[in-house]
Amino acid sequence: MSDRDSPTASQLIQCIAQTEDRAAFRQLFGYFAPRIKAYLLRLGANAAQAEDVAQETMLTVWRKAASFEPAKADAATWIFTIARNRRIDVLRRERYPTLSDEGQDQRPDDAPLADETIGVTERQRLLQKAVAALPADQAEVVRLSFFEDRPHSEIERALGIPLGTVKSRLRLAMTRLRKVMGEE
Amino acid sequence: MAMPKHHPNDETLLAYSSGNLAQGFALTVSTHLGFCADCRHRTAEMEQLGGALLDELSPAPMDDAAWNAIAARLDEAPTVSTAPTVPQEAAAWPRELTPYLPGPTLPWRALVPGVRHVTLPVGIPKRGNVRLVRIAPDKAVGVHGHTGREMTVVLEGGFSDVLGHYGPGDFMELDEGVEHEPVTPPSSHCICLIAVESPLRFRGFLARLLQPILGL
Ligand SMILES: [Zn+2]
Repeated sequence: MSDRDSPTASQLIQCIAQTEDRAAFRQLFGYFAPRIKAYLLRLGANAAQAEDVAQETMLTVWRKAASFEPAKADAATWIFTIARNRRIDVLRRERYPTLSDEGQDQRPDDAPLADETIGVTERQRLLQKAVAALPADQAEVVRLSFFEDRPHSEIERALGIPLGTVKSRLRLAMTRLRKVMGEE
Repeated sequence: MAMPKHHPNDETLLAYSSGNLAQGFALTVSTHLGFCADCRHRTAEMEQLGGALLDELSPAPMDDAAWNAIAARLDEAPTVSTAPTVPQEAAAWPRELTPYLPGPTLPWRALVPGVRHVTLPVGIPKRGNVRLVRIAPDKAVGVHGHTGREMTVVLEGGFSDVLGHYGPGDFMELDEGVEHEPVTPPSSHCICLIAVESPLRFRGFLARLLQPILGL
């Protein structure tokens, strides 16, 4: 969400957390539900499943808005992880093993991502630029990792390149992207 | 707690972050994350990449009725799931693992003298299995090879093999074709979480005899 005059997605989530603001939720839904649906379609879900996961994800956003930590993650990242987990719930009928909320309380000193002088939203924009600037072959394996529901050994087959090459491209891509995310 | 020394590599962590790992493998990774601040940080970065990619997807329009359908559900009371009782012996293990244990007590069964195991109700492809394995002190598990991927995370104690020493939180991934022979130290037992994609292959006469019993 980049329109400068409207509230950011992160602010909308905080409005939902504080006042159960339905107008804010409607705006967030309008932006993210179609993107979650697109994400599911890219991963091979049918339209009904994609709608279903988009609905379930957004319902979780509504209910868990208070647990969103704007200093730690941007809205798109938080929503991505919910959509990822809901997809596995709905399509594989399995609960995806994630970091436990309970454990989280015992790790208050986990470093925030990168330096705090640039906001998480700004960093997201830099990251998108960095992905766009990756060499085409590296960008392709990164996208396939997120948008193909299959192991890297099969990505190898899809691209017709050896597994070692897939892995080294991923490693190169992550090295470049980490620079943007404030490491190295 | 000392930080782990052996970590998942970038490919494995990216597969985990993108939701691309089978449940059993994802559980070994999330259990490692319970031990490892560095890898929690790496995972957060990869999820941020997922967020950036989600954000720039071309939207697929929702059904006309979608907003009304969800608006009608906003007042529904969410189903509250209660946290499962954690077995006493698992009290110090990461909370990432405990919801996947089979119940409030762990039904350990003997595999061979000095080795006990519990199978976890967790998904894994190709007739593989996910289990806790408890190995007595000063025990060699036997040379074995792998017909599929294996991911292991140490929960208590440790073991050594040709690749080095593995202690609490350490993560080990073995690919097809790798052979190794883990050995526990004389002074302490070892408990590991092990996810294997397909049965292990043991070498040697005794190992072949044991294989059907081990079901490894
Ligand atoms: Zn680690």
